[in-house]
Formats: sequence, structure tokens, C-alpha cells
Amino acid sequence: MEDNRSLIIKRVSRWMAPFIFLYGVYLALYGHLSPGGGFPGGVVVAAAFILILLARGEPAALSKIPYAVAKELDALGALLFLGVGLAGIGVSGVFFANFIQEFLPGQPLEWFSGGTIIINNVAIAMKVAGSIFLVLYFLSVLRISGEGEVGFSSLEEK
Amino acid sequence: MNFLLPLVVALPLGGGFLLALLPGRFLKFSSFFFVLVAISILLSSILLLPGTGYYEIGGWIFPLGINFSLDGLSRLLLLMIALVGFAVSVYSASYMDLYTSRIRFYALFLLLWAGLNGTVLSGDIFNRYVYVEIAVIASYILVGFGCAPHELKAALKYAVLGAVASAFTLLGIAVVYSITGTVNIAQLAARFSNFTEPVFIGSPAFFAGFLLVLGFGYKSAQAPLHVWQPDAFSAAPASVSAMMSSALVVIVGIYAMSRTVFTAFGVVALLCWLMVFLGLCSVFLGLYYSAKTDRPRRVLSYQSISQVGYVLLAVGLGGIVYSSGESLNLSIWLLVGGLFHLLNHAFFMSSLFLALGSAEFNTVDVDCCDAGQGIFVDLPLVGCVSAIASASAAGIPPFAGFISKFIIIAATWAAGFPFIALLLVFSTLGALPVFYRYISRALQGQSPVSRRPVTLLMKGSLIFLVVLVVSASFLILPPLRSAYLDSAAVSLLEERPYEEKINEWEKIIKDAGDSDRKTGGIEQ
Repeated sequence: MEDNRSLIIKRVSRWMAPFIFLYGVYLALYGHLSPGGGFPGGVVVAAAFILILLARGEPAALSKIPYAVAKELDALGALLFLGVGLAGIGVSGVFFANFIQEFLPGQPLEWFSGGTIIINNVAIAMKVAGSIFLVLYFLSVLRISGEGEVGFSSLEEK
Repeated sequence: MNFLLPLVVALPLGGGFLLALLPGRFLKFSSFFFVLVAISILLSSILLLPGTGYYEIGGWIFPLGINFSLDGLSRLLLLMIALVGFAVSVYSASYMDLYTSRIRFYALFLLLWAGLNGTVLSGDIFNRYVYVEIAVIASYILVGFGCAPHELKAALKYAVLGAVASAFTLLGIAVVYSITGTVNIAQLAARFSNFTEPVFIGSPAFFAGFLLVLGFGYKSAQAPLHVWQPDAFSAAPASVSAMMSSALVVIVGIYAMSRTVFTAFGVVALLCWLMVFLGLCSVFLGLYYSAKTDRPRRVLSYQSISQVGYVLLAVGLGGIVYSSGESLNLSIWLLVGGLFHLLNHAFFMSSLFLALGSAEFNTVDVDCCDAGQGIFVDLPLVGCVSAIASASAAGIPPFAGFISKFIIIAATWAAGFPFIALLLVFSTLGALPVFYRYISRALQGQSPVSRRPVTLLMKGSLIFLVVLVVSASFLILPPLRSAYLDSAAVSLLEERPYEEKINEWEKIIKDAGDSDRKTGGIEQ
């Protein structure tokens, strides 16, 4: 496919993407203290990769976040979230109990004050970032390979 | 046993995401792991059967936090899902040889199962909506699993209509929240029972209930809203059709609907009439279309619509009789009939779909299977299972399907609806020739070319299901009936769940409001 994207967009997206990524991580890590949280943080992290996907094409995006990594992020995020819930049963005897809060309360309004909330936010951010990137990626793959044939054939070849 | 309550949702969820992590080359291991997870869910559902109670997730006190609640109805349905799900998982461990990327199938199937268990257990209507979405979104993908154009088309149709239905449900929940200020089912029951104004057409409460019934009616494929169901069940892999017809449609449709209309709203007669209307339409439209077609998958799908119609009709009539206050006994009998038919439907429909799937597995000749001529000639066991399940579905006397239909019809007659009872007698008689033709066509004529033998795992799960179909009759014997079916019906009709706890809580809120008003804490 002929690459006819403008130079300005390619340049600017190269500078913007790391900051967008960092902002997403910030939103996820400080979600329990300020507006934000796991879901918005994950969406913003995914937006950084989607910007690269749209501005510089599929290979550039996949060099930053390979397909397998996004897929594993998706599943690992969900497993981490579930793991926090099961650890609650293991430590305090209640599903999703805030077991870190019980032992290490931390100061209110400090970063370390939410107990398991921080881990949950990170887990949700991983899950959301992985799956939203994958949804957009699949749409782009299907559009590029979609000459009459429906399916994931182009993906399996890679 | 209390910690098992969140585990029945966490187990399939965790198993599903672990399987999604596995690379494709661990095929044998993933099948083994999948069946292992299914067995552990079945075991925990059996262990949960004796008790009732609720579980506060994260230790948040009862009406405030998210909670799971287990009562007479939900423990029965949990076991039903687990029995059918176990049989279908064992079956698909070898049936899915027909498809590629089986690990994804296993992962999605477990997510579907987690959604169903969560729908049954969750104690507030918003979380129930989320679990319903988990289950149906997994099923959208499972319907189109083969990725052939007609399969993707059916999945897209199902997904679009399902999204419309979800919008209805969500709007209904929003209206309920704006009226009462809560989404917890037990709290809703308390607040709706304190409502002084009656629910009439045009009142916000009726509007909310109407939206919820319509949304869940779409997902349970009730008659005017059933258009997605025959296409989806014809396109999906047989094991998915079996799980969807026996568990998904019933749980996210009938269970969610009756929990809303009965427990949360407190038996509103107008909404019950709506359920009766949907049920009657499905009984007859399903029968009519299943008589018109020859293609086996479609016969079974339309029959499934018709049989679920009986359940909805019986449950709705039970609500009407209960709210008129004439006879508690009759309304309980109507509900017992409906719930018993629901269990029977789950067992015979899943065995019918799995038997048909075995015939499709046996031959590669899709056209021949689609015509339904002679597909069971070379498969005596599969034919036998099909015949027994059809006999139960058609309502032939010694089988459980007869008993449940008989209870429904007799109780409808006794409750003073002789016209509806006569209509049901006609439709029951009408189902006989449909199933007779289905079985006789499948057992006569040239058998298609056989390629793959039906494996031991598939045979085992078919035998397991047919034993369930036959032994379901024992559930109506008095000791078992009063222990399970009656308590399920009573928990749907009469129980205001955890009334004392809720009243205590409402009092705390009221006192806090009063003291704030005295000190001027809240500006009016």
C-alpha cells in the first residue's frame, strides 16, 4: 500500500504518543485520588497506540505493541483483577476484601492509601488498553485484507 | 460453603481468561483443563444446593454494596445450568474438532457460563444487566464461530437486535432508579411495596417494567421478538445452540424477567398479562413455524420458542392469580408447573440439539443434514436419545414433559382461564405430529455418507443428558417437589428477601434524614 500520509502528521504523532501514554499511566495510578481511574487510563493508553496506528500505519504500531503482547495484556489484566478478588478470600476470607488496607492503611490523600484499589485500577487499565487497541487493530486489518474474503486469514499468516 | 458463592462466577471467569492466554499448540491440555473447570463448577453448584443466603462482596454491608443472593429459585437454576453446561463441555471437547481455534471457543464458552451464573446470583438489577451482557456478548461471537458468511450474518442480526434489547433494559433500569433511588432487588421490593399509588398504564413504574419485560423478552426470543433465534441456532455450532436454548435464553430471559416483575416490583398484574401475551404468541407461532419447515435445526429452534412460551405463560398466569388474591395454592401450582417445564425444556432441548450435532459430526455432507432425511439411520444411540427427548418434548405420558404440561393446563383451567387451557391442549396435541415427522424422517431413507465416528465423549454426554430427561420426572414426587420446586415458587411469589435487614437499613436512612433536617444539615 502506498504510504501517502503527510509528514507533519507522522512527525507530530511521534512526539505526542509517549506523552499520551504517560498521561494514561498517570490517570490509572492516581485514579483513587483524582478524576480518572482504570478505565479512562486504559483508554488513554490505548489512544497512544491507536494514534500511531492511524498516523504511521500498522507495522509501526505493531513494533510498539506486538499483537501477542496486546492479547496477553487483555487476558492478564482480567486475571490480575480476579486474582485480587481471590486473594481477598485467601487473606481476609471475603471475596474482593481490601486486604492491603487492613494491614497497611497508609495516610489519607497519600498515593499509598487505597489498598487494593491501585492494583485493581492497574488491572483494569491493562485490560482496557489491550482490548481497545485490539478492536481498532482488527478493524484496520479487516479493512486492508478485506477484498471479498471475510475472516482472519491475513492475521493468521503473520 | 459461603465462599463457594462468588467462586461459581470466579471459576469460569478465571478459567476462561487462562485459556485465552494459552497458545494454540496446547490443544490437548486445553481440552482437559476446560472439562476440569466444568466439573469443578458442577461440584460447587451441587454443594450450594442445600443452603440459601447472601454474600457481601468486599465486605460492604448488605444493601449498600454489591451482593450475591441465593434463594430457592436461583439454587435450582444454578444446578440446571451446571448440569447442562457440564454435558455440553464434555461433548464439545470432541465435537469442536469440526472447527479451528478451539481454545478461543473454550474461553468464550466459559465466559458465557460465568455470565449466566452471575445473572442468576446477582442481587441488584444493574449488576444483573452487566452479567447478562457478558453472557450475550460471548454468545454473539459463539454464534458466528464458524466464520462462514451465513453464520456471520446470523451473528450480526443477533448482535444488532440484542443491542437494541440491551438499550431497552438499561433505560428501564434508569427509570426504576429514578423512581425508587435504588437498584438493589431486596430494597426495590421494600420500596415498591410501600408505594401507595397503583401501577396503571402510563405510570412511570409501568413504563419501567414494560421496558424491562420487552428487553428481556427479546433475549428470551419470545414470539413477536423472536426473529434472531432460528437463524442464530441454525448457524451456531450444535453445542452452542444447545447451551443457548437450554440455559441462556431461559436465564437472561425468563429468570431475569420474572425476578423483575415478581420480586422487585411485587407481582404487578398488568406486567403479568404482558408475559401471558408474549407466552401465548410464542406457543402458537413457534408451533406454526416448526410445522412448516423440514430443516431439523429450524424445527428444533421453533419448538424451543414454543416450549419456552409455556413457561412464560404459566409464570405470568401464576402472577395474575396471586395478585388477584384468590388462591395462593393455585398460583403456586402454576409456577411449579412453569418451573418444572423450564427444567424439562433445558434437558430435552440440549439433548435434541446435541444429538442433531452428532449427526452433523458423523457426516460431512452438510446439505443432507440440512434436509434431515435419514440422518439417524446409522446412529442407533443418537436416534434413541433423540426419540426419548422428542417424546418428552411432545408431552407423551410417562415422560416429564407430559407431567409439566399437564400441571400447567390443569392449573390454568382451575384458575378460571378455560379458554387459554383449551388453546394449550390444542398446541400440545399439535406438537405431536411435528416431533413424529422430525424423528420418522431422520430414521427413514438413505443414510448420508459417514466420515467420522461419533466419539465416546459425545456418546457419554448424550447418555448423561437422556438420563436427566428421564429422571426429571422424579422431581415432581412430593418430598423432592416440596424441597425444591415449591420453595422456588414460593421464593419467587411470596418472599420479600431479607426484609428485616432492609427495614433496619431504611430506618437508619430515615433517622439520619430527620436529624439532618432538625439541625438544618440538608437544605430542602
